[in-house]
Amino acid sequence: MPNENENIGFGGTVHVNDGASSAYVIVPNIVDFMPPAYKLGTVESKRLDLPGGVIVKIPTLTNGQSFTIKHNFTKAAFARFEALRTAKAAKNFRITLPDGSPYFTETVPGIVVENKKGSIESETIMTIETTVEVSGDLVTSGA
Amino acid sequence: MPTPPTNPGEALASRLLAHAGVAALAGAKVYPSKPTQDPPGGANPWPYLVYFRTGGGDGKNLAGRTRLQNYAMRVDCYATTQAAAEQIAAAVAAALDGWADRDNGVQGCFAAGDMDEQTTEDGSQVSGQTFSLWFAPVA
Repeated sequence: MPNENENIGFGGTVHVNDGASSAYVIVPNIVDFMPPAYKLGTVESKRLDLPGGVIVKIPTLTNGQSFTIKHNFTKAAFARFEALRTAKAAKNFRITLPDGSPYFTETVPGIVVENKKGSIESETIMTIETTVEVSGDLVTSGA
Repeated sequence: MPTPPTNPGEALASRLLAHAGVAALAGAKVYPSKPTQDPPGGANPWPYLVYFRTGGGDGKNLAGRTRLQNYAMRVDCYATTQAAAEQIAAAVAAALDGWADRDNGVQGCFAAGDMDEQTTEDGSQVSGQTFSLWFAPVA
């Protein structure tokens, strides 16, 4: 299957290596997912004697920032991610996005910092929004 | 290897015709738009189902029309009893809702919340639903 020019997110997945067996286990029932983005920081150089009087920006460090996974609330799903949060340890997250074959995949380390239950309403499916702070460099990235 | 479908109607029809649940109830009586006045089955053509495009196909970016397009596809199921029409509609939903087949250009297909039912002038019962179909012809 060749790469497409455009893709919808249906078929995208997130797996977490959260078990003692070092196996990646899928996060089921994801409804919305904001993938991580590594951001290169910059600092400004504002010396008054800079040529042309233009502020110069210098690259500094890269920050993995955070990403979120919104998935359906179940007791099991909440317990799984609360266990990751209270463990206070980085785990590897494998993210797969559909395009061509094989799909685009990247693996990043992250620490689960929050499992926020969504608004509880009579006719809305209950959700959990898990926030993960990226804790290091990209582990693997694939085309 | 069969030729991939070139349009969303072909993709949808291929899916319905190949789906065991739909075939068990409607056989090969899957028609684009309305069947002819004398559909297979003669005086007793039921059950059958029809599909037609009701909207979509307007995807674009700054370079022009995108290959991937979103279409609203309506499927109406005709039968002599409401129970039979509902049964076919449920089989259609099972075939189409959550369906993806990228090798044939279908990135995703999702049921809309407009499932309805009616009785036609000839007394046949109709149950139907719209499906959001994301289709990109295979290059």
